[in-house]
Amino acid sequence: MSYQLYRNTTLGHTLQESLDELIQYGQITPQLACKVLLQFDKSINQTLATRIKARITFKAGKLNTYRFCDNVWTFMLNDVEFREVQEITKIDKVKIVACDGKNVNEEGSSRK
Amino acid sequence: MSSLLCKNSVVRIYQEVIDEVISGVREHFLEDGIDESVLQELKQTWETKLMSTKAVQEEPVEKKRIDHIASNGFPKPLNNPNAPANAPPQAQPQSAPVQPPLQHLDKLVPIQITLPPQPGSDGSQRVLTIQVPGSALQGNQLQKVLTGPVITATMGLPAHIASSLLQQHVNAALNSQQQGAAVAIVNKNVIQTDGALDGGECSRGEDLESERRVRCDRELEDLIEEGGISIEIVVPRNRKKVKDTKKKIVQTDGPHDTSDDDDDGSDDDNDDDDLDDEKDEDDQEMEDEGGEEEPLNSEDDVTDDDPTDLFDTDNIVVCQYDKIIRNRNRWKFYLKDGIMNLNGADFVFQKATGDAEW
Repeated sequence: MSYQLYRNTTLGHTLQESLDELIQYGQITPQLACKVLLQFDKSINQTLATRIKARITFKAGKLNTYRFCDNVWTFMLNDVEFREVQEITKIDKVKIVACDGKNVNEEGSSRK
Repeated sequence: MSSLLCKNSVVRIYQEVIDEVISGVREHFLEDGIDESVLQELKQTWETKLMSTKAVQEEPVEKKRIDHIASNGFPKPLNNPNAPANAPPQAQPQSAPVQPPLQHLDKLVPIQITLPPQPGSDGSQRVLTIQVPGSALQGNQLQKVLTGPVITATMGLPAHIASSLLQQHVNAALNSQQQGAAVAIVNKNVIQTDGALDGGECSRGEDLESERRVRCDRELEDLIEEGGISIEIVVPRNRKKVKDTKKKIVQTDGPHDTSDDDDDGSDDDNDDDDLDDEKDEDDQEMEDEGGEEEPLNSEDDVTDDDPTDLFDTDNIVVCQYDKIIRNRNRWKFYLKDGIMNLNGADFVFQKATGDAEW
């Protein structure tokens, strides 16, 4: 199965906007747009699982809020320092939305 | 490979996903009988939109590797002149995405219909707002739809009921006649020549720069004895500026919705009091002339399902969790397969570990 949560990213948003335009012109049907989004879910899940190598660490000054609902964690962190090797990015407020990673592990992932 | 910064690999990864999605859905497009050019248009629009977000760097992959070595990994400015000659050409120019004007044809635009005072009522003018597709403004579609009997029928009704009645009527009529979409943008005046009644003055001081107003009272003078009534349709002149225009359109007919869909209907939620019609008339003229007071719109909506304050930020990490561990107030996060948007820029990661105190 593929999570749909990556639709809520830059890549997902821009795809949905593009599809909306095509629907508005009457060039494609909403059903076809839906199939495109499902394909996007599949591709992005697969790509993230297999093609990305970057590892990062982060340290938050404060966990402001957390929520666990329908197996989805949502965290609001304050004063976060993201670090990848030497590169550091400091953010005063960040939201993390995380689905359960176990559900998709068996299929589509070539690594452990 | 771990030296490849996650940020720098974003463009490459995104391009892979785009290519994969496009080729993955080609079959579906064929099944639907959709031309390949539409698929290519989707790809191009998507890429253009993506690049215009500034969330990704535009540098080609090869160049990035070189830059990385040279710069110890700090992001380089765009359009580095040192790009190697063999770098692939940049996929998309930085310029604004091309948006065919046809796009606006199907957007809903608010139309105001002003009904002058009715005889026997309290004498206030009433403004009905309905939403119609932009394409309906072309040719004389509206004029055909808003025929005399309909207008007459709405005259006697309370404003909000009249609005929704008109809206339904227009929707139904347009749906039935809109199969063949308009081809070129003509942007004609919409002239209603068949309205029910005539004779009143169209005194509202709308901003003529952004709106085109049409008196639609001719041919109706024989109906003057009905009480001196005119109907005025105000449409935004430039549909790209609907947002600006909306600020000046004041709905005075009460809080009820007049349309059923689309973001463009945000002025539906205007909250003016329809109990006090006489006052409304004054208010309306003031607001129309000065435009000082911005009416409520959808931005003022109170959503009750989400504590938006708490969970509102532009920095978002979308990912999956391997483990979330809490020990008293100490939390540890083991995350994977993430896409982050931090300070407007996108990053991806395979694994992320972090900790925080609550």
